[in-house]
Amino acid sequence: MADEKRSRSVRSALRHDGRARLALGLVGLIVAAELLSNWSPAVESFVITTLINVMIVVGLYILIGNSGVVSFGQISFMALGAYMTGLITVEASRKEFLLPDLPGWLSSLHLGTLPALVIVVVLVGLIAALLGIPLMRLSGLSASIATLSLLIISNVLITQSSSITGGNQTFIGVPVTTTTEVALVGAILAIFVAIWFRRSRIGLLLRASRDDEPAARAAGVSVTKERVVAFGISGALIGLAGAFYAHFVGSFSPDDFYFEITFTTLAMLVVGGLYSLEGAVVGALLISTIQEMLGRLENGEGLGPIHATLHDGVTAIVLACIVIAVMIFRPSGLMGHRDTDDEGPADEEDRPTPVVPADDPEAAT
Amino acid sequence: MLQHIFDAAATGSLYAVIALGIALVFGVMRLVNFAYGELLMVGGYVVLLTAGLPWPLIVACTLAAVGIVAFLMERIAFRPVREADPTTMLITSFAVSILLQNIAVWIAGRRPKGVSFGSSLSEPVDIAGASVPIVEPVTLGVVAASLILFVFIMRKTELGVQMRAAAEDFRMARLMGVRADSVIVAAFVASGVLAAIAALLLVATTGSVSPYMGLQPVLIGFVATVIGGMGSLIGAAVGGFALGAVTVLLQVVLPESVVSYRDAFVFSFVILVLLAWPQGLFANRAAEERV
Repeated sequence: MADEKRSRSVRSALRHDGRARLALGLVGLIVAAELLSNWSPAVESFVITTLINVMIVVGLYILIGNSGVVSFGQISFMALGAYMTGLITVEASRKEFLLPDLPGWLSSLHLGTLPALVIVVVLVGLIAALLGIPLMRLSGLSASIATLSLLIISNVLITQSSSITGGNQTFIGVPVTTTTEVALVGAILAIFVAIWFRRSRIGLLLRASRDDEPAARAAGVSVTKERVVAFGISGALIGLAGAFYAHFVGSFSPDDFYFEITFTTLAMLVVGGLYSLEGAVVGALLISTIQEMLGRLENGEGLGPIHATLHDGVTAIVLACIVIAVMIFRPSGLMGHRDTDDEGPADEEDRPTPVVPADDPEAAT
Repeated sequence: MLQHIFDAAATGSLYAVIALGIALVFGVMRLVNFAYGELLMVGGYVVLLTAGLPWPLIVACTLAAVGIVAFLMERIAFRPVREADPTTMLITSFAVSILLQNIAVWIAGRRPKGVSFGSSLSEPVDIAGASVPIVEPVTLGVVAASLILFVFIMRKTELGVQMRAAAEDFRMARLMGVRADSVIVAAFVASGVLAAIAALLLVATTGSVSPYMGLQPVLIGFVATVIGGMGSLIGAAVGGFALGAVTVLLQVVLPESVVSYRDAFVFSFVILVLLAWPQGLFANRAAEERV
């Protein structure tokens, strides 16, 4: 009897206390990542990929979840981060050989991973904020199309500036320094930044503008300014994720940062729930896992006891069907609006009964 | 010079058809249909499959097949999310696009395949002293004929008038007795037919099909629709024509070293247009959001 009572109170704590859920989630994430990484190198690389995906999707959430502006262009910053860290950390002698037309100062530049990451976060964040100043004046569909244009422009610039990026060729020789621990630090950092931003004044103003833009503007919220900040922070985090990715795979090409990953990461956020941080993390974990399992079957590697070989394209088909199904049956995503300490339109049952009746403004004052 | 003008006009009219297909669906349900490119792709593969038949049959099969796919697309994926916000629909259409692309990958593989359809059209012909491939005047003719037919349907038939009314103000049109379902289905099927026409012309020009062949056209269609004013059909067609003509002319005018950056210019232009006129150049008044 007492046991049942306790288990119920634990469950209710997890349901109502965001902090308990956060702590448990993070511990679970760390333990799972460490245990799985020791399994085999293949599983380890799956863990690192997943953690980088978590970073990207949380970065997307910071902008999309708070402001409601769906950007299709954030992967540009991933590309920027990857190429930037590549140019900084590849050895000078190697760069001379691979990219002979590189400007002198870039060619002789050679720093370790850590200073490179700091430079990436700062520079990409700044560039994102600057680009955000015009882009974030737009709302809704116009913003989506403008950011999609940004993605295309950045792809053209990368593939055509071959003296700096190597163009369509694979960029190789980036030191492989992203271990499970590094990726874990990145993912957890992203989560804490997102929590901090959501609780900040700007985050609150943004969510107000997300739920009712004209009302927020009427109440004196600039909207554009707040969105620019979110765009910059989101860009910095996704740029960092791009640098982590570069230091994980060691070599990459412009196609790694185009429509495919844009769709996959957006799908992760959509499946988890556009407006929920928990959703971002859950979506990233879930879709990454599905992708990994199907991908292995597609490559004929087998999955434990299963040895079926799937046809090329099946992974993407399944992913697309999941997104369509979520959009149709649960448009707010698996986690809905539920969030750690969110004051937003949560599930009705989760909300405490208001002391003052909502329709009685007199009593509140 | 005359030759370049012909090139520009042919490309422009192809883009106009593509843009019209996107604008039609956008007008009636505020859906930016990313999967429109895959309708073109499906059309391309139907041409590949029916390659041995006489050409009128190929055309008929393509029109029918793409129309059916467009119909199914609306029924299965878009009808359930019709009430959702434009972003939800945009993401759904992204997913439908990936889905169709990868079904093509599954069935036909990733590699482009050559199609002999209309290979006789690539022979040059003399027009007023300029030597142009026959496919260009044919493109102009086909597009002109389809546009005339399209305008006739939109102006003279009841469904066409309803579609225009719905594009202008969907809620008001429904209040006046326009049936939402039939108008939206009609818009999708019509956009499918336009996609099929574009696919036939595209395949006749390029001579190959691939699962990813729809991406470039759909991006172009987007741009044209944005420039032309979202929801304005004439605007989209004009925007498409202008965009096609400008891209071809830029190719000729720009110096060699800059040509490869052409698309960066085009899409920067899109952002500038959106910033200056968030509703597009030829926006109709109903598109403006009211509070």
